[in-house]
Amino acid sequence: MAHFVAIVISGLTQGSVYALIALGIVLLQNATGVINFAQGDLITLGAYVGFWFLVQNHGNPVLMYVVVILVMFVAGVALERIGYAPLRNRQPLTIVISTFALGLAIRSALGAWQGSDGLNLPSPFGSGTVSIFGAATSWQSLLTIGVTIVVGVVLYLLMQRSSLGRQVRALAADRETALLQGIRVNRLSPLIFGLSSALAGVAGVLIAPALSVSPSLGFNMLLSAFAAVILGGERLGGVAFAAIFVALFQSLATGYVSPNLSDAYPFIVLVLVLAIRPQGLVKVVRGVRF
Amino acid sequence: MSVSEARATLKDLAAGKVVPPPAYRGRQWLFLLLFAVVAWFVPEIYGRSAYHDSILNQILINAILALGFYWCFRLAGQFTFGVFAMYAAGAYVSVWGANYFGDFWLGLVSAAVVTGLLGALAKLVFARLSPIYFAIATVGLGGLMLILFREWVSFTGGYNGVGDIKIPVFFGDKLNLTHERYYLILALLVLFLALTIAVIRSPVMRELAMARDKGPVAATAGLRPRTLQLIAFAVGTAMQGVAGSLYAHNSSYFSLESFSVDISLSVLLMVLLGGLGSIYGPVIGAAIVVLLPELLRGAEKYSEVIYAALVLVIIVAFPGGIADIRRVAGRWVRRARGR
Repeated sequence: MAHFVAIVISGLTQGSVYALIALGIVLLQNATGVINFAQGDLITLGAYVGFWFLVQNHGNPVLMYVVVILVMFVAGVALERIGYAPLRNRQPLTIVISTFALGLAIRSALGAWQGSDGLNLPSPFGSGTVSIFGAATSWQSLLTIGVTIVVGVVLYLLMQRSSLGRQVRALAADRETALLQGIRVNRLSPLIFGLSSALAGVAGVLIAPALSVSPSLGFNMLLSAFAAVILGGERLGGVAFAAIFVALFQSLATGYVSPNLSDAYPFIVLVLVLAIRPQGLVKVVRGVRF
Repeated sequence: MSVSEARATLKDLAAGKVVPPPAYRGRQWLFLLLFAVVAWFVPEIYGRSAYHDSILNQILINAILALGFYWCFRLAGQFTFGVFAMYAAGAYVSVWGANYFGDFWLGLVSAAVVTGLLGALAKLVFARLSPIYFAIATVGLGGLMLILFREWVSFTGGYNGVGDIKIPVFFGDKLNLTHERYYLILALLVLFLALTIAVIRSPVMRELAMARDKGPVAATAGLRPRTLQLIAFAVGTAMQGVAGSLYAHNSSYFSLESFSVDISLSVLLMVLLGGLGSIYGPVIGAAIVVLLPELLRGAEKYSEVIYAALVLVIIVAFPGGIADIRRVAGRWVRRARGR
């Protein structure tokens, strides 16, 4: 029992992080049509900003989240100005390449700034654990799940109750019509880039204590997040659940099948889903709630 | 074809002239010959040391890899990020095949066959995906293959690598030196370029272009877009496998560390930097992508940052790549005169 609970909790923790990343990707894709391949490196950047503030400047752990969100928002806006705004009317592929190049730039800039050795970002709770049904659970993973729920609720309210959310939903539902209705994508896109990269930053800070912080931290997680995006059928709610599904599958298979292939499971999910059901598992209901 | 060129063509047609299609206008065979001759003499000028020779070989291998990607992307119309996996598969299969059959050439052929079949399989399985999702699917598939190679230690040696590699043989001559292998790789590159030219100048290209740009219409016109694209894609991945094979046999030792997603990215950069409009784009791009980090070595730890920035600038400034530089420069000159 304790073993099973431990596996499920680790899956939920990992799933929360995947969900934050995947939500950032989907949000951006819905609003601007761009799939951001730099998202993985934004996760890494978030972790490094957290490290810089908490360890190198001895900052306050709670303030760290605020700092990370602010810095990452600015980074996202900068990304939009440099990598997307000049190329807006080019082919989607050109924009994909430019996000790739920006990701490379971020990765190598981080390497030049902090070196490529693994760094350790301590959890604000230290290494303390709590027992849940006999499974030793670190406070950090409870924090991760908690923060993800809070962020999810805030995002939900933002999408459903604010004018910004309505615009994004309209764009996602029917891009041309939304543009004809006068939604100013040019004003919207820096904001969404900022929001999406802030989500990635939070994900980076939350996952960092469990791993070591190195420039290649984010890329592996990116593919798991893509699996969630496709499974979830490009809708925010569906994607969040799909992320948790992918992570649970990963941790159950790691725990009961083979730990050697731990990093292969998200790939297997991704490839199987794309081969068998490319439209995703969550049924897409379009044009209902507007 | 730009609008002005199209107008010129229409004018010529109205005047009753015979206008050849664009593929026949350039003297492509002559140019290929010129390229081969120039490339033949490059080592005499540049390759003064073993280090320079190895860089030259790397450029040519990357050019073949990028040409394989060009086939997948430009001729088959399918963007793939799985290049790194085909490269790795080609390397491992070729080393195994050469040892099993006892001949370097059979190893190379088995690498081409295996990667060609793998590519065809991937194309079939993911046939219904949109281009971006196909790209993601190929990253996933490639990642899976790399993990497979990591776990299958008896076949690949994992991170310990393989050292038991057959030295390439050309008509009975063992090519022991890097310098000698340059000509082997060059010969294969020229062969592949010739194949590409032959396809581009044939009616097949017209059908491929139609299948790429107007798939459903091509089907109604009685073509078989899927089959055509499948073959072109498989040929492309087979070329990537050959590049992997050449990489393996050009080195005395390699391990899993040689292969990562970054290869796909740099191949993409090669093709984009070189330009999609010309088959020499991949070759030019390979030269730039291999040489640029060497030139930037003086910048120490900032070299990669500068590299990424340069890539971005080139993509923004030259949408058609370096091969398109003449047209872009001409436009700048015209604009400057206009003012």
